[in-house]
Amino acid sequence: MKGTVSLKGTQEGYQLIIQSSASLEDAYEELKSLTSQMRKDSHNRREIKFHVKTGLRELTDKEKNIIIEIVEDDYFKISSFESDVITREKCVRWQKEASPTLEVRTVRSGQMVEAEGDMLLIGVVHPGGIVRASGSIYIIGELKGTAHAGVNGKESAVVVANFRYNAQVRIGDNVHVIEKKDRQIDEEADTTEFVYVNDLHIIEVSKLEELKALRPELDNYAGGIYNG
Amino acid sequence: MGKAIVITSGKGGVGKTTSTANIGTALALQGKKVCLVDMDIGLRNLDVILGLENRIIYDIIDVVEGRAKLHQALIKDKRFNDQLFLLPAAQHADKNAINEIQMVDLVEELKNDFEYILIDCPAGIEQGFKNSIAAADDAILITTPEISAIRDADRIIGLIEQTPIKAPQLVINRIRKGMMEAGDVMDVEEITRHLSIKLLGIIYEDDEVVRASNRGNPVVLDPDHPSSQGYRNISRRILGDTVPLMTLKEEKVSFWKKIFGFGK
Ligand SMILES: Nc1ncnc2c1ncn2[C@@H]1O[C@H](COP(=O)(O)OP(=O)(O)OP(=O)(O)O)[C@@H](O)[C@H]1O
Ligand SMILES: [Mg+2]
Repeated sequence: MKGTVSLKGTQEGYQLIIQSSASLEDAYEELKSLTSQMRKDSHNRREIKFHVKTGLRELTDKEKNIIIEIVEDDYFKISSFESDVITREKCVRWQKEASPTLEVRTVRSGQMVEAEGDMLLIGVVHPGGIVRASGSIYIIGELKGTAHAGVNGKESAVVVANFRYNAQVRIGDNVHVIEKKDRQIDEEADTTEFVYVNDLHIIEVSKLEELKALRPELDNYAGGIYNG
Repeated sequence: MGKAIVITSGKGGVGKTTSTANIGTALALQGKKVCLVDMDIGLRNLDVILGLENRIIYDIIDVVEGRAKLHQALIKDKRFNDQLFLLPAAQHADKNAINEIQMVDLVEELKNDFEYILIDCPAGIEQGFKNSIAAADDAILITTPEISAIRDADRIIGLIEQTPIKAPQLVINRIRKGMMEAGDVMDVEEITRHLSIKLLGIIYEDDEVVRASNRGNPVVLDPDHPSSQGYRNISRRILGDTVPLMTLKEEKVSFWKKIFGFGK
């Protein structure tokens, strides 16, 4: 069947557009003949990059590999794939990563509260209680136990809280023990601060004013969906 | 090669954890290298009394399940130079997450690095008790002068007699002189005779114990309290010194001292 794949030149380069209504088998065939024709036609071959658009079809990695196999050689390269849809799984994952999990509770000794992505805890973490998140942790209330952010190794995660009690903060594999007696605490002022891992891979407490400068991406929740 | 001593009681709340912290600290004060092992999985306390609660990163179950090496889980007590360490219990795990064989292996490993390993046993006679006993060379039995505690102590002695541990040694805790003198409770000699094991020491009821534990500083660090003296004597007897038993007679605060703040 003809017309399942079309080639379009744009200012950014070449686009290969695969009709989402066509069968993939047909599309593979047509890609084969299209690219072999292009190879024949060009005499002084130079590198060409293709951006593959699949419309309302999300390709699996296996399908992408077949297309790469057909198209790529020393000169032809596929720069990226783009579709207008995403899988439910990806969407759920993105949704989890993008919206913080809200917990309103007391985390008692021996309890562990976990979240995928970021966590916003409104309440108190008692000594011996643990909150864990793969992203950052924000606590409105009191942290007297342990807060572990970036549990899967995301070192850019932070923990925002009022560090005026004995507590422990972990980010990835880094551990910081908060000793009340070592901290000058102004009982009047709001002492919300954040803990992060700096460029030297040292975990430290910093003033809230620094947060935006050190972690500008924190409130950028739409990021994840576009690049897979 | 170090020696492992379990601190046990049968009855709950008679002072096992307090005694572990204080005897361990006293041994460290005498220059011994000591490791305290909290076996009370799920209801750990030893870390709190030592003021080390927020330093726990890994616990004994992390070690047993291979998430951490033993040395990573040990918490150093900063008040001493590499003398006193704690292996904390897990607060989030099941009591049965560790068995006797694993506990024995772990304590054997500790014996390479420490002269004394004190195991804080949980109340009761379930898995935690079995683990604690299995790994121990010696036992210290804590009781209070109450009949119910003495009954449980008697039961524990019977259980320990069936193990390779030689007879446990007795510590009578929370002694109130007035009540003992008035005959309201069994006295030290009666309790020792009734249980027919060797008396290692006695500890007086002392508010300072509670105060000190609340601050995360075991009372034994401050020698000026009767309870502290008791713990120090026990540690010296463990080291083989002969120390006379503290007298039961109340040191009466003299009338003149009460009024004028001086005199004897
Ligand atoms: N000599 C003492 N004088 C005053 N209070 C004491 C004394 N010994 C222990 N206590 C207090 O008794 C309570 C129980 O002590 P501890 O926690 O050591 O007992 P335990 O046997 O370990 O309890 P559990 O069976 O729950 O593990 C604590 O509040 C402790 O401070
Ligand atoms: Mg206890």
